[in-house]
Amino acid sequence: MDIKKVNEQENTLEIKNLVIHYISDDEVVKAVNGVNITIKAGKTLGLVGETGAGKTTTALSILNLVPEPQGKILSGEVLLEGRSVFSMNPLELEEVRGDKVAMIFQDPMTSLNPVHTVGAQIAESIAIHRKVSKQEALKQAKEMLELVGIPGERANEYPYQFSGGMKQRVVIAIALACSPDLLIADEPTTALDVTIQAQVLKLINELRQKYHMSMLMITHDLGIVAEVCDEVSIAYAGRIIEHGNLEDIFDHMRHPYTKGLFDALPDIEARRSELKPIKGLMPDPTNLPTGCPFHPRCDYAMEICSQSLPQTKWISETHCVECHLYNDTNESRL
Amino acid sequence: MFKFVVKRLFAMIPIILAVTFVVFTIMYFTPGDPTNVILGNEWSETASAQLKAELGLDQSFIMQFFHYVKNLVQGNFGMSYITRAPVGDQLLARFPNTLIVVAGAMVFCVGVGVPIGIYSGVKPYSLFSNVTMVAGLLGVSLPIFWLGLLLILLFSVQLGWLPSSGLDSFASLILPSLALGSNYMANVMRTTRSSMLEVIRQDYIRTAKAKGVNERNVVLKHALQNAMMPTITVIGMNIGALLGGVVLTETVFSIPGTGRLLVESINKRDTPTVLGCLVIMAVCVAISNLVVDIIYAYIDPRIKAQYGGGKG
Ligand SMILES: Nc1ncnc2c1ncn2[C@@H]1O[C@H](COP(=O)(O)OP(=O)(O)OP(=O)(O)O)[C@@H](O)[C@H]1O
Ligand code: SF4
Ligand SMILES: [Mg+2]
Repeated sequence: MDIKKVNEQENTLEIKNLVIHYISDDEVVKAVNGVNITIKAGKTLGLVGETGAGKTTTALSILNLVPEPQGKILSGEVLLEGRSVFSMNPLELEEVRGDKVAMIFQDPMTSLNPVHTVGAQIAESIAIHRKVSKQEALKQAKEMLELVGIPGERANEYPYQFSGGMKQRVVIAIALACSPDLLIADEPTTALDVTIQAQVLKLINELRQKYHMSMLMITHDLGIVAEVCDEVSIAYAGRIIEHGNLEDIFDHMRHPYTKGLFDALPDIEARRSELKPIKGLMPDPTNLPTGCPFHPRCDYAMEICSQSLPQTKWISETHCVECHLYNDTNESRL
Repeated sequence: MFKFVVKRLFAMIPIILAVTFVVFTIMYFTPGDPTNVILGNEWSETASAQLKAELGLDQSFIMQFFHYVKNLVQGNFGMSYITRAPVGDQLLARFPNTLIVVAGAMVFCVGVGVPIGIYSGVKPYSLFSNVTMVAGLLGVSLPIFWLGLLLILLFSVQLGWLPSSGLDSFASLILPSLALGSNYMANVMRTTRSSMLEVIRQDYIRTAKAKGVNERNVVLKHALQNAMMPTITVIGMNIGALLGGVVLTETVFSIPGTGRLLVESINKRDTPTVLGCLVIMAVCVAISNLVVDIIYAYIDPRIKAQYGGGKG
């Protein structure tokens, strides 16, 4: 076995140069435009970005579940422990989904099948992947329910009998049922109120550690990132414009957009009276700006910014950024 | 659930009474003297008056209706003006034929319409889907009469494969079922397709796929049950229309059923028989609506809960 291969196998997930557009009769939504993501075994990566940045689309591609027929994967690869997802046949995909990779979906209200009991919905993936009997699967499903803090006897109830927070827990239980190697959590707490948010987050974190899972945590909440992630990728208009570990991003952020994200945070300790939201609106994915997609909103924009897309620049072993400020020739850095 | 069914059965009574009243009123106020029909050439003032007294036709409208209902409750549909035999016996002899034809049409429209609808909803961009949708459009616009005659011409006259009239074998059921069912089959197919299209892009379908459920079970276990609601509604609503269509079908294919009996007795002003046919059909529609509601409850736990079925 050559060295390269050994290296690759340490990565639970590798996304390389992924491009996904939603193509319909009258428009092309450029959702993902060359994303690179790597998650090492056992680590948690935070994927942060505004709404419409292409986070969910990227996540769905890992399960090869980008909505058809509009969603077109135009180029790039997704490797799970070195195996390419896009070249798997349906049977291989079914084996991966729910067992190797599981996803907690963004909207718990619509993610559960209204006509099946929650118990059956959790048991289903256990029955598929663990090859156990129906009763055994249901028994394990009840244990999963208790694990996420819902009494096991409620397994016989239907989703409409559950509150939003409980549905989210069920969605989490479904995702964790087969203790996947990689857990994708797509804004698992946005649908919940603040007190439950903290509980659910704690729960995910505990279970993740218990089962030694890698995790992709999608969020636009930097507080969550600080709490659960090892590394952070900042997404903007379908690209990762900055990536690094927590220290890199929280203490040495380089990209003007990343800086804007932090400036927009309410800072309770400093009691700063005024928030500084990033000016302008997020770009229209059907009509992205030329060059650096952030340039219409950027305080540091230069002439070159509207002309060419900045290349990925590695600032240190762990930290990279896509911005013309970090050209080798440029002096005026952030 | 049991309580719900019983409650609904009782709720049917006023509906059927109301239908009976409407039909009775229409028949009562239709101009013409029934004794003319019954006595024919032997008609005379005295004979007519005597007959009216005998049949209770000299009483007030309300009393006549009251008597009719009273008899009806005892299972007595009255005497036919024409044959002077009990209408109930006629219905008993004829109604099974109608039921068979309607059931045949139903089996055809569900058995063919639902699977095609599912398939073309799951694969909406396939050639198959497009072809069946065009066929479906044709299906809803073909009149039963015309289609029935066309089928007879092709399969009975030209090819000689299937009988063109009567109802004495399975083969003789095929053409009437096709003629009667094709409109509704097309309806069922289109409804199933569009609700399948809708359901298949719901989030919970994605959840199922993300669990590793294979495509077949995604459709059969997750999508179908959710997609069936509109289809069942359409089927339920069409039962009334099917019973209407059966009048034409039985005429075209010379099937001795209630539909044809109805037409004949209207022509002959045989009021008790007309009433009997319509009451039976109304009961039929009411029962099938109840069945549809029960099926709803089995498909959707939320509806079951509303019916007071409790948990599970
Ligand atoms: N099925 C679809 N058809 C067409 N366009 C889509 C579809 N799904 C997503 N998009 C578009 O693709 C872009 C990226 O969507 P995506 O859901 O990946 O964003 P996101 O980063 O997850 O946003 P959010 O934070 O709101 O969840 C958006 O502009 C969205 O409108
Ligand atoms: S490349 Fe230019 S426009 Fe883009 S973030 Fe950097 S400075 Fe701003
Ligand atoms: Mg999203």
